[in-house]
Amino acid sequence: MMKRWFSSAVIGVYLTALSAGLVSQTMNFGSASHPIMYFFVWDMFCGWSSHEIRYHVIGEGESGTYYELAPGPWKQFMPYGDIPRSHYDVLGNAHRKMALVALAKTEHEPIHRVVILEEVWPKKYNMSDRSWANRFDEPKDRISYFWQRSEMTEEGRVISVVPDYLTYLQTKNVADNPRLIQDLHRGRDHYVISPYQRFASDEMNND
Amino acid sequence: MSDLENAIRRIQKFFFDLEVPYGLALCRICLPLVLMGMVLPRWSVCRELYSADGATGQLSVGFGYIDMLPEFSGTVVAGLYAVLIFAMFTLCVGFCSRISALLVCVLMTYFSMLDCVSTMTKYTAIVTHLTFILFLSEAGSIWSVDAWLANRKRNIDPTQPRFAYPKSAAWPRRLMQFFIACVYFGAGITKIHTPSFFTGDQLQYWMLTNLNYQHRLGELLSGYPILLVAFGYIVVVWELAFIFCSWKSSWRFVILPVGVLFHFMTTLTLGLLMFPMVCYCTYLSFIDEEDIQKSSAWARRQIRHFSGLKLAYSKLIEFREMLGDRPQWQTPARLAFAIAIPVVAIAGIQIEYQMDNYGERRPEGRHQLVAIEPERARLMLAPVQPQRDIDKFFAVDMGTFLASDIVAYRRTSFRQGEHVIAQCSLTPPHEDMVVECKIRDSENRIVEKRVEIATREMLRVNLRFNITDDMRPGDYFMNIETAGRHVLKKKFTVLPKYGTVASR
Repeated sequence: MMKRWFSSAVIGVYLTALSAGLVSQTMNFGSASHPIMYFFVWDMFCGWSSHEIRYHVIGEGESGTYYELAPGPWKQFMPYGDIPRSHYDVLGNAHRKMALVALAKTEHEPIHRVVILEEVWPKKYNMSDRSWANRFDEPKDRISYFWQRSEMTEEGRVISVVPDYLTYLQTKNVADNPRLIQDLHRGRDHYVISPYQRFASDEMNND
Repeated sequence: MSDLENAIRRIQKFFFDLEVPYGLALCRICLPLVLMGMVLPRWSVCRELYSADGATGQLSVGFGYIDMLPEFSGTVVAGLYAVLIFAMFTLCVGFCSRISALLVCVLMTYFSMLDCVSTMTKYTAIVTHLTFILFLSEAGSIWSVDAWLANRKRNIDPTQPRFAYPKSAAWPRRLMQFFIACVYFGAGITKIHTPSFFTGDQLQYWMLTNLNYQHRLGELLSGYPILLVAFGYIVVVWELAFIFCSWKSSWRFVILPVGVLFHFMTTLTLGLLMFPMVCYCTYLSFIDEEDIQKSSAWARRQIRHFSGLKLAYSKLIEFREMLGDRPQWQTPARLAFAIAIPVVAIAGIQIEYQMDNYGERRPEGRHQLVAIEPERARLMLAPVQPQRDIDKFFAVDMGTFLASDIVAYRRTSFRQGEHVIAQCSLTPPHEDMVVECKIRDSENRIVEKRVEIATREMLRVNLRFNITDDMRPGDYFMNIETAGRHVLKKKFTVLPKYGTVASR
């Protein structure tokens, strides 16, 4: 009898957890509130990008030479095909650690700074030459846009960080509106109690 | 009997009916074999991926919890990872099945959560659920080392289930079925939340993404977004219907094969490998006693017909006889399992030490950093160049009718009198743009012109014009321009109107 009660409790709790995940996802409520939600929210392929992105972690040596820090100079790990692991770090969680590991485990001249870059190109250039020729009358002319995301010291202290390249493009498109920019600066309060707001105001004024 | 009592009785029967856990046993055998494809390649780099001596990327960071899980040294991780591989092997053969399933569940989840860059995916989350359910179930009671040691009357030949296999409640199998149905339902909801899924744009761009394994068919299909829209609708209907139709009914024989086909297509079009295999493992939970009886009868017929199979079958029986029953080994075997875990961990540590992932103990010394070509470094570090016009446009296609706002049938030859649609697909993000279409004849004279505004949220611009009688048969060029700058060019041919002498 106890076993039956225990089984019923497990069934009840498990189905409730699955249902809670579904409701959370459907209503878009709390679906990112805790890491455990990753195990109950089934949002596969929820986003997409029109651009292919690769990440480069490079270090500038004392001599002015630049070195590749990720992937490290040892055996490259390619988790899902033929692209090294560093290119899958969309959130930039591990790039800093990758750089520090590469610096700690290798011989090198003193490094002055570490730079994390995005290399971006439109995905249409991923088409094979044959597919391209079927659809386009002009030759394929791919260029990569390099965008500096962040800069660090050799010890990993972050000096500067900016949003990713596609966010930059979006922001630029919105900001390309003189009326909107004028409105942004119009009617601003002189004094806001929140220290964060004051800081933001100072930053804007300095700009 | 009231309706309520009837419903309760049916629910109890649904969850607590006794059955031989064939489906879960098959899942127990297949899932670790599939997972080996993911776990083994990461073994040699476990120090780099999962330890404080490497570059972890914890899943929790994305949720605002900085480094939620403890990170152990490379040595400890090497030991734990070896235990994970050992537990997957013992789960597969059904040796201490429950504890093996628990070990796989805990260690797999832990390692996945430490590396959201190259380990944690939705299929590893699915594996967490499956191994947890296997831990709760009696999946190791048949076709396993545990069953052999338990000295129950059995037959290892799955084609002859006439012996009395141990039975257990159906609820773990039901939980697995509910689980996969919820996964599909959630995936369907996600697609409904993503408007660009139904315009074909999302699928088109995913099929052109080179982050997964090779997927040539995906690249080919990306050129036909109208097909992607149609498949997209079918997939959403299937995903939402799965939870209602996958149970024991005639619909099951449609829903499950469609699922098999769907996952196979994700391999060909998106380059997914592990995800389909893991999902196939969950489909094994839909196999029940009746299915096994039918397939056993079929297998017996095949054995009778083919002498090769008959020979293999007799060899199998001989092997089983040779093994005999060893109930006296049960306790020593459990002891051996307990001893094997630290032994495997130590062996794993030793092997990982010998592999020397970072090359710190190489005779020639530690690795040197690889210098980047100065020219390339200059290119990478230069201020970002302005986006070219061509990179704001995806393609220009021509046709005569739209379906789901896509040129349904692309053509490059038109007859006089036809109404032509030139569709410019745009690459987001782009600014508000003027899109101008100029039709030029073979002597470069402008014969037609259209202008449209593409606002920043638009993914397509349709420019419509008629092939009038003034446009004489021959070759023409359509030039797409923005702000007076050339972007794209498309050649097309004008043919004589139907019914004219020239058209013959």
